[in-house]
Amino acid sequence: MDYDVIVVGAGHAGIEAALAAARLGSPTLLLTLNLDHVGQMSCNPAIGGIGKSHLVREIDALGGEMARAIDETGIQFRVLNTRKGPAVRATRIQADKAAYRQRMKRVVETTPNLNLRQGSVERLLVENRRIRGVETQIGETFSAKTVILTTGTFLQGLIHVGQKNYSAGRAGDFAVQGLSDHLRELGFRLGRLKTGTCPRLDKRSIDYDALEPQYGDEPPPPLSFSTGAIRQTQLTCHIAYTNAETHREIEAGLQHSPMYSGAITSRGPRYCPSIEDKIVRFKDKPRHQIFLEPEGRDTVEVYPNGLSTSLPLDVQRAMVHSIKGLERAEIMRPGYAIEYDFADPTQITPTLEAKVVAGLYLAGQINGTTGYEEAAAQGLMAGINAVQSIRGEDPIIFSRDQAYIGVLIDDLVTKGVGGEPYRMFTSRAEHRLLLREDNADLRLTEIGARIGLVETARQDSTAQKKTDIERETQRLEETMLTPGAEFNAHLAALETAAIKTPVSLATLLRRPELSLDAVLSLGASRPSLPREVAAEVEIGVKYAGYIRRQEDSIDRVRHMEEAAIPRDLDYAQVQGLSTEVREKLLSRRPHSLGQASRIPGVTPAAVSVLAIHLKRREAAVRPATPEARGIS
Amino acid sequence: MYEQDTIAAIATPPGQGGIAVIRVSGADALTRLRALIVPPADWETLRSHHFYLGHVLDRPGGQPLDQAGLLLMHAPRSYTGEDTLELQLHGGQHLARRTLHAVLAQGIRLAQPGEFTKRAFLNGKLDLAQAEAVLDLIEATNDTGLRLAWEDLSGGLSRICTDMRDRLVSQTAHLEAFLDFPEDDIPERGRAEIRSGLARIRTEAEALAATFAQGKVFRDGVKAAIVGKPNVGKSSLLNLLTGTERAIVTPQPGTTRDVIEETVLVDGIPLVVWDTAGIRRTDDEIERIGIDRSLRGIEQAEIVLAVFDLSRPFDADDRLTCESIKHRPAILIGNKTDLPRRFGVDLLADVADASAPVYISARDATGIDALGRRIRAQVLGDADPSADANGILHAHPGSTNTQNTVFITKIRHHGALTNAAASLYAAEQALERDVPLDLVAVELRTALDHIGEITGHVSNEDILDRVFQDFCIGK
Repeated sequence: MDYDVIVVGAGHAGIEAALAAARLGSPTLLLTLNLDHVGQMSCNPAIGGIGKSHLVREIDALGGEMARAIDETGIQFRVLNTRKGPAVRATRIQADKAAYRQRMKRVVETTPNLNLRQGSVERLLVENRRIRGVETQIGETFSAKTVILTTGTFLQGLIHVGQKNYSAGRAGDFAVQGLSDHLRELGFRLGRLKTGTCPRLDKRSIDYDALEPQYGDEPPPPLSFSTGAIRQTQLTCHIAYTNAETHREIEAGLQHSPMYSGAITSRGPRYCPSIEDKIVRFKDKPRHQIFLEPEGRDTVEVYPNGLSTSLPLDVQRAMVHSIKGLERAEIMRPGYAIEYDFADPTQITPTLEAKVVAGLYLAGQINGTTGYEEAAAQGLMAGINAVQSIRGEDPIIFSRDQAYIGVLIDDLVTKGVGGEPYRMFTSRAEHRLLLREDNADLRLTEIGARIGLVETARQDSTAQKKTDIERETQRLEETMLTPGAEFNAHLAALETAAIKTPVSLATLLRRPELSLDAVLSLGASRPSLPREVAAEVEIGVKYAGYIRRQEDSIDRVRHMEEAAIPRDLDYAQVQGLSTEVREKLLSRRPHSLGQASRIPGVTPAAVSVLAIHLKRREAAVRPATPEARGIS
Repeated sequence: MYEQDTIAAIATPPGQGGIAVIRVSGADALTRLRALIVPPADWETLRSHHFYLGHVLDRPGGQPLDQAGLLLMHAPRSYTGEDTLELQLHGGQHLARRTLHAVLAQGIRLAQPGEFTKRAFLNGKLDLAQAEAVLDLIEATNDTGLRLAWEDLSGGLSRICTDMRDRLVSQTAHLEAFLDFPEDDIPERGRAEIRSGLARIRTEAEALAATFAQGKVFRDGVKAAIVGKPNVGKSSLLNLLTGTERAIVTPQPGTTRDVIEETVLVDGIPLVVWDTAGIRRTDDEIERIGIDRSLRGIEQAEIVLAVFDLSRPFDADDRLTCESIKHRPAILIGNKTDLPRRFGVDLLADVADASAPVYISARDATGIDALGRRIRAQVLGDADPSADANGILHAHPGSTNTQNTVFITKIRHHGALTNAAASLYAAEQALERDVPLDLVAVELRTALDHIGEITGHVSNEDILDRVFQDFCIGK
């Protein structure tokens, strides 16, 4: 049978890609190495966190699966950064890994138009630089109009523990050997990245009385906009600390570390360093936090977050045992480092389609990212854009001021990933105040509906929410309060300054010390607002000045983003570009002047030169007839 | 936007020097000069950034003009970022010009002023601040202006702004680490502590912005008008200031009919001096035109040097002078102290807006130093930098901007610094008012963007780099 879309890999990217394509009505095949590991979390048992939850909410608003799956199977729910401002507020949910896998596999298996098959893809079928299908290890072939590669850490994966290493895609799974060379033959540049994970401990061997508990929030906050109340009971996490002895054990074992003995030369991610990196780089820090997170409800495995390591197993043991509360802890699986191949993401377009093979899309860790959320976001967009291209419709590309997904993909295709896996941080977004976790639905539901992934009921409820927010905001702006002794006494009770002239409720709300709740208590009538509506109204009014400023700054550069650069622009014809800049532009082929300006090494002067060239070209082309255009 | 052709020019200053350098820059600099230059070895074997001794011919296949040092610089490792060949010739304008003509005859275009720099900028070899400094250098009209331009070029401004920016990046990184990594044990820096750190940076930005007034003085010079009734010694004063017989000096009143402009350096201050026609009541129509021009000059001048002749009695024409400089930044000068004093009145001190007069004798050149100091004090006010023995400007002892040995001269830089200071102030206010930190971060990013307008470098990666360098991130 001829598929519209074949997705290679059923991790977090592959699942979203396959579900999106199938839900859009495209016959889709999801191929994976091991049917028991669909939606496996190879590393920490959690979804969300700062920057990442923003991506998950966006995936959710666009009709993706991740948020709903984690809401249903989560074991602890928390909101981080509650007091630091709305832009950086983020939800994180501890996962039950097995339940999450089960949940994802069930959805994949029950979604119409979607076939799930086990197989290891070793070759792509390509004709005239256009994808035709895939071929597995055992010679089985599948043909398709588009293929989405989501290979995770499996391409030439090599696991290191101490001085020992072996080939694997992750602990317990085979690596994929042949595909890397094949991709090189097709013209891809591949690089190598390193990441790592923690040992897993046996819950029964941990002395929890010696540890600080960390509880979930009540009520548990969900990630999906469609989740009502979370009903499952929450589990407790615990915090332990390394100490001087731990650090001595690690230093003593460093010579056997693959990172420090030179066996691995690639740099690990700076934001997710191994414990040995932390000890070496931050010598003065007397202790490091270790979060003990259960891997699920029905398992005794515990993930000691913060102890990522590739030290030999005996050093891992000694280091774990030096920690208060873990003196007798049993290591069930050793921690390890893994090296794997990735494809420099400047080789893909903002739709995630490869520049060298039409119809081939890349998503997730193969693009040099890390994180389930980053992977899922790319998978969703690859799935959407594969179908859009098959249907001959416009690609869906988010701008940097529209979604974290836009920031993520623009960073990848414009700048590449540097020497370390790319992770999302809120500080990567220039317009952070606009891209909040709380307003992802307001930003994207409509678009998700237009694509065809969001059902009408949800679209309607978002539209209703928008109306409610606007109405209440307007009421706050228009409701005037007159000064008076009694009223100012109210204000004094709220520990805020008295008023001398009539002011609106909105003006009062802009005082940092006053919450919406306090301000509503001052008005004559008090509307009953749904919690989400109240939150949006409060943020929108309180931070109106800042939000307007970010919107203004977007408007100022909008012309740059809207100035499209033709895909086939002949850069040799652009006079005044240095060879270096010309090569960069040629290899990236930016789709807009805005993107061009963000390519490292492309100078503002070069952008002006390019802008002038485009203007001239436009002027030369405009009066011509389509026929004449072909000749010029 | 520039043409990609190859350009050449004499790169050394005009005049007799030990050596003259002709710079040829462009993609085909080497191919076009192959026939004109005899290298010591095969062209193919010559290496970039190595010095060779060869000969320049007057035309391909012609006679040697001179022995020439050849310095090859392959793109992008040259000043312009293009393939560059520099010919070092024995000194002498004549030889340099003949060689240049021979070079231009090979289809190479004469560079326009500043074109090498423009290419350097377009090729990303200089940042905007440096490029502007070079262009100023080309336009600079006096020594002090030149030195300031050099200071800019050598990165004086860039250095200070980069330093300011680094500290701001550090503050921002701390805040961002605190925002993005809530579970990483990042010590929360108190709001008061961040605020005082920002206030220090802001104060510096403000102080640097405040040097604009002075920086402009050094770049553009100060418009100074010498006024007074006829024959009080205005032209003599100008000549004394310039050290040349520029204006015609005669005892006949009304000799200077037009406004004569001259740039002079007085106590380190570049003055663009207008020697104006004498102010007096007259029926002579032509002289009347000159006097009107003088009066307009007074209106436009940034400093007015009002000269009075102490050897003649104060009269109606002197009074006219006093009237015309009312409410103008004027220095009263009593001239001709070498002659018996017949001025009669002590009116000078009564003229509005003026301080005690300065007494000089233009003929004997006395009192000129005191006048210079007065002019300098009037122009620079409190921010007077004093030059040390090496002619390097240092901030005045006790002044607030002790580290600012650099003046900003660009309105663009002034705007950027002022805006940065405003954003920092807003951040300080926000911190004081318990505004959430993500909003404070917006102000810091804005301030960084503004400082980046000067240094030309703004990047998210810089902040992230600092976060990972300073904090142990990742649980």
